[in-house]
Amino acid sequence: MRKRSALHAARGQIAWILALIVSTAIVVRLEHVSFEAERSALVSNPFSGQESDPVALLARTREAASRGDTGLAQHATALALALARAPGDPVLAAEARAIRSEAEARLAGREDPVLAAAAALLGEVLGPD
Amino acid sequence: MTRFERQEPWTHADHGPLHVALWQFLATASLVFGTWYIVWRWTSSLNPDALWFSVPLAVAETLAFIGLVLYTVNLWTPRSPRPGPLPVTAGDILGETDGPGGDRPLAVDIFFATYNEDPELVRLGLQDARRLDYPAALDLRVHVLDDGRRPAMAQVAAEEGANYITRSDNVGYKAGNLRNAMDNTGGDLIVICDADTRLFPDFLTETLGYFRDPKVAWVQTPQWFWDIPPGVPLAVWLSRRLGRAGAWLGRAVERIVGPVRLGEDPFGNDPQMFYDFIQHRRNWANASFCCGAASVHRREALMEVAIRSWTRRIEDVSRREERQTARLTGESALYDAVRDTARMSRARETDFTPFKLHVSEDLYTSIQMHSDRERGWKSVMHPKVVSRMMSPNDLLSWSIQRFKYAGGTLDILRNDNPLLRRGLTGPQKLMYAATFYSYLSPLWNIVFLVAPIVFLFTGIAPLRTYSLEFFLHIIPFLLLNEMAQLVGLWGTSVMRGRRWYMAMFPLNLGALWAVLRGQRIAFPVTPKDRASGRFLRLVRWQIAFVIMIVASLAVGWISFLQGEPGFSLGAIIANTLWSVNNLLSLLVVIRAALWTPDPVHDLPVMERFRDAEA
Repeated sequence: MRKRSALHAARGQIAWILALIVSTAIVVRLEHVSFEAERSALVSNPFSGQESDPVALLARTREAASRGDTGLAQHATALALALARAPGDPVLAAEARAIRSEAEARLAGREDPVLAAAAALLGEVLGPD
Repeated sequence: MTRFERQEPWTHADHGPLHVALWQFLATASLVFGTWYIVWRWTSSLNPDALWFSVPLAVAETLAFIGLVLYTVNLWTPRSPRPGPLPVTAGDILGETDGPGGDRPLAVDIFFATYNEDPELVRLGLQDARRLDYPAALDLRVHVLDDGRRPAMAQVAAEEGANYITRSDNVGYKAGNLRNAMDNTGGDLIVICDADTRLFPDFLTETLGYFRDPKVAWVQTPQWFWDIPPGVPLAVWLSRRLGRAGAWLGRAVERIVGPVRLGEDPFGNDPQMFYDFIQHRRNWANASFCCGAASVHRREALMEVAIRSWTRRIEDVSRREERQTARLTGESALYDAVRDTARMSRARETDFTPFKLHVSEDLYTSIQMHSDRERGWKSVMHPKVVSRMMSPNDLLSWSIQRFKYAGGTLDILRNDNPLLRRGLTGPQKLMYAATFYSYLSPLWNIVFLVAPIVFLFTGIAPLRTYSLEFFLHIIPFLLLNEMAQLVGLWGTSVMRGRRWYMAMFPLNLGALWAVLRGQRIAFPVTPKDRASGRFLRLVRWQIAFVIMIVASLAVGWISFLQGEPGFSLGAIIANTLWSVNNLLSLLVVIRAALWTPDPVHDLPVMERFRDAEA
């Protein structure tokens, strides 16, 4: 059996394999799928297949509504991490105190568990005044 | 140059141990991932809002997966027996327990079974039979078995020095014809040929060595069709339409992807996959079955199995009658004299036949021989092509032949299921199960054809969702399965076989329905002359599906682009790929219905028999 004729006989199959790979790549690329983040899907993902579930839709709505404070929460968390790596840095400490005050002011008006957790973390790193 | 262009038979795909090990690794991995996918399908993916759709598809996938498991077992290893030194005397092929065989030369009968084929076609086979090589003197006799009782055939036989055998009726068709010839001949070995079989000079030297093993009952050799249309080279096809530019373009494409021939083997007749892989890889389980033409049989084995089968049938009938009589008379047993007389009359009424009188007599006889555990008969599928014959080259003849195969096989499954038969070993049962199971494929193939159409028209998914989880489960399985088959069947075209397997669903469904209704499968002789014309009526179901697939693709993509619910990107891509695969499968048979041979490239090959005759 000649290698070349065997290869010619397998052309259709090779094309089919390539079609499978390309299609999968398109889906992964266009759906912005991150395999790293979705690894747990292999074990068990309680939300898999629940994209249209009313609870999931509600969660998305709430997340969008609280988007105004997400930036502040992220800022507070980042400062907390930076301070933890460089304790005693006066510039960072001053900024952290300012952010904590702003967060506490915002939290006085309404409930935001994400911002509250970030502020608490920052407080833990800053220590008592 | 392709094989067909040169009109040379395929060479055996002799895979080395490493190659086989790689195939076995990939096949195992594919089955492991396949099992994982099937379990996931049943436990986590069924769409609760559309169980009417979801469950049948999951059933179809599971049934197809069982078929894949059987197929993998079938192809597992190419381990095969090797022939011994060529026998010279009759004693050389007998076992120690068979008594003295004598020093007389080995007697070989060559049977050419014919009914209505052109006597000149048979003449070519007779001439080739006279040219067989053998390094020792054989008592070789050639016989024409004419069920057509034609003087012209008798004359050809006389001119070619062959013995002419005929009979007064056509009972049992080909099987009956062979039985009649066995009554009139006495060779130790019998070579079975059809009217169009032309043996190569090395036919006997390649096959008789296996009979040194006294348990080998028959040796089947591959059936190679030398008249398969080679098709038109792409460069020629394009040059006819676009002139020089077309020829240049065609050559450029062929330089990249290799030779492309339009209309090559339009009926999927190339049997390399079947003989070189499916049949040959049954040797390890001693389960390759006889396919009739181009096979060599040990007379003793045929006769012995026939006697056993005959006595068993007499016993069965007699016992049943004795029980009925005892119930009627109230006697506990019959007088010996009455019983013996009854049995004698049953023996007179029961046909004695070495070949089961059945439309699939080859398969039936093989099952009978394999299940004779007491003698432990063996079969061998020889890998090398040592004969040539002609293929059905129009869709009508092709359909007749395939319906006969499907109906005959399913009829055996229904009426004398070999899986329930005592005597067959476990691996033999698995191999026969693979054969029978493949003929049930229309039951799941029709679901595979319908499912993407339903989705694309309605947006109703057979899965809970086409999420990442679906792709994570199915893609490794599909890729590993493709890789396994690419490696395991390296040397033959898998896609072609797969497409015909899918495209044949109405024919196989018809055969299944006929058998379930208890309809008798007829014994038509596959025509050797090409019927001209277009056979669109034979492919009306395939045409209907093609129209539905194209329409559903259009509707599906419009729905996707308009953002209709349910038409996610993953769903539309998965179903498009699936539909295109279905479409390509169905188009092969529609193309075959419309096919006409190219006068320059196809006809000279197809009509070569006429040239040889001239």
